[in-house]
Amino acid sequence: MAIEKTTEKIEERGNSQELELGKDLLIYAGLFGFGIAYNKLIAHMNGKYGQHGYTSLFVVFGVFATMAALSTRIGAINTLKIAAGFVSSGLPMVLGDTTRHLEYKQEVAVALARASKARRKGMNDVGQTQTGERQRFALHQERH
Amino acid sequence: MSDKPRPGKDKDLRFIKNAIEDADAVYRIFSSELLGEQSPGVIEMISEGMLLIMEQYDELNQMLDDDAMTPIQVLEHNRCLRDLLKLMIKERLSPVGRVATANVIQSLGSQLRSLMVTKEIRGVATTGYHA
Repeated sequence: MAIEKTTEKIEERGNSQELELGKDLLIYAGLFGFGIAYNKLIAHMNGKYGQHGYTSLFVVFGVFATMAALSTRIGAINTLKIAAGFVSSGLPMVLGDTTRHLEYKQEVAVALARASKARRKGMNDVGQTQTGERQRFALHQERH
Repeated sequence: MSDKPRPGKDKDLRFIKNAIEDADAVYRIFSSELLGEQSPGVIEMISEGMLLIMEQYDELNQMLDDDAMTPIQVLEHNRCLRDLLKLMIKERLSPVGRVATANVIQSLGSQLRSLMVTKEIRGVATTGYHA
């Protein structure tokens, strides 16, 4: 009798472990699918917008999605502990990346402004060029 | 009689023509190979680059006729183009775009060399940016 009960318990535990493993595998498969779709999205964004400056935020979202999926398996407390670790290590990177992107954008704006100014200067100097001389001569001819 | 090259003469005109050819090459690359880039930032830089090249082209052609014209402004445009390209190579360009950018840089370098010779012949000193 006792032996039968023990055997049943062992079988139940085995079934339960199999169920748990099945759930884990389901989550991993879901995350794998998410990873494929997310990779396509990032490739599209990079191709379309070039230096968009959201790379670090995309990483944050990827980590968030992974942890959200795993939280059903490892529990809320553990998830929060791991999230705190990620926030600690990731926050400086997010801030640094954003700063670098803003600096780059500023450099682009300065270069474009300088180029535009150089072009305008060329146009303003037209009076000193041969074309300008011709224009002035034509005006002079018209007046007299 | 001095052998020093003079403005409006053989060597001077040859190097101006070289600079025009380089401007042509840059414009061609900008308007064909690089125009496929989709990123808004890159498109803005390419547009500004094309406008600069058109200005250069105009001024270089005037320099062919007018011996008194100096290449200062053309050099300034070359400098601005180099600045734009320095930023453009940091963008996520397609493989074709990266090769095209390298070709533009090569043409701009060649143009700079020609302009330096012209500058020396026409006897002007340029330092830094001309705001």
